[in-house]
Amino acid sequence: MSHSEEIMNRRKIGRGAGALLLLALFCVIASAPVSAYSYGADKWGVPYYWSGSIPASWYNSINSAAAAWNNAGSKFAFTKRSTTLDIIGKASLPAGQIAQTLISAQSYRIYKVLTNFSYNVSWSTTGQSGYYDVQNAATHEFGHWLKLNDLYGSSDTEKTMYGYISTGETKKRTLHSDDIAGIKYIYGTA
Amino acid sequence: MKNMKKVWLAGFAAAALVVGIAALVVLAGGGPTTATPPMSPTTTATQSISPTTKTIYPLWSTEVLDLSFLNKHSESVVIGRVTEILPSKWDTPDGGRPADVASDAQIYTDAIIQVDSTAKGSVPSRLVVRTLGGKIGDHSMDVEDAAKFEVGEKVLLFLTTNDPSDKTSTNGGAHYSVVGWKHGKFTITSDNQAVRLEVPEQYQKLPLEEVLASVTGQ
Repeated sequence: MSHSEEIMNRRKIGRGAGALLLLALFCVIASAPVSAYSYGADKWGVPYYWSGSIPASWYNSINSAAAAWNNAGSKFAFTKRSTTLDIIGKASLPAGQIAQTLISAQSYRIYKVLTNFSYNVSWSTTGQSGYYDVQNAATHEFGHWLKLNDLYGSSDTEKTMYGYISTGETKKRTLHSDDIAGIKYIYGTA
Repeated sequence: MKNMKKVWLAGFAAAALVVGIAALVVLAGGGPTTATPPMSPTTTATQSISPTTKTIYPLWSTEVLDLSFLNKHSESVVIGRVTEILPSKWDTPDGGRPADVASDAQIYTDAIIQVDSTAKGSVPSRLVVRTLGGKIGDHSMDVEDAAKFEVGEKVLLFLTTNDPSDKTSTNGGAHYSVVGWKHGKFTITSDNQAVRLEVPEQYQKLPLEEVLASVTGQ
């Protein structure tokens, strides 16, 4: 093969490779989904309300607990609505239980949630020493409404979903990064 | 050398072309996936009601981890062996299925304990320990932190006659429930350790003598 023929061959190979690359690039760009959906930024709300056993002085604490989850940056929100079956109330609970949430589902779909705060302990809305804090406990219980489970590990004590609570404690009011990761995992990031 | 470069470039371009074509094929043939609804559960002629699941999440005071708390709230403390676990029942007077299972109906399960010794209180030699939760057909009640029993298990129990739920108190005969649920139930091992699981690690395993001493003061 002469030198000029060799040069011609090289040019042909180069042009061919370039054309292949352009074609490949076109296919990749064409295959990328332009827009499979468009999100309107509004969120469906899970309603909550309270029974007559809840004192009016607790309303702000409960609303603040719901707001903590609403502000976590997920596609989910609690909405206060008086017509809902999902209720927060008070009940006589077994010794040692401060609050309890019961979630009812049928055909694998949740249709009712009930959270009760114990009649048998003393409550405060200010984090007062010797009292269980309403917002602290309510923030934890709202996590169960999302189907987050209790945590009991030694590394979980600072998280909202840690399964134990003490008098005067308020740390559950503020979601830990792992609590936020939990709600985002379930409901997606807004 | 330059030829080698061109060969590599051609190879890369070919690979990218294959990937791009494959992506086009997938997009043309697929589209957005749609969520698959959950499978309908298997039903029988006698169970035509949609399955229900109820889950209870208790929030515990840290006090429940202390033996002194368990002792304070227990009427009796026994060591015995689990001899039988009865079929779960509904909280209706006859234990049968309520007309509306989607209502506040609850499920409970009784375990039979053969008592070997009593550290506190007076109990029959054979007693019933009731826990909330269980499964009946397609209906289940899952109770986080309920005391769990196995036939043949040797246990130490802090017991109360208070029911775990006011809906089960009048069902069946006399029965007890465990104080603090999982917190008041210890499995006794062959080397005389009292073990309870699913509690913070430092509270899981105690010498049996220590637990008994917390009750008797000796």
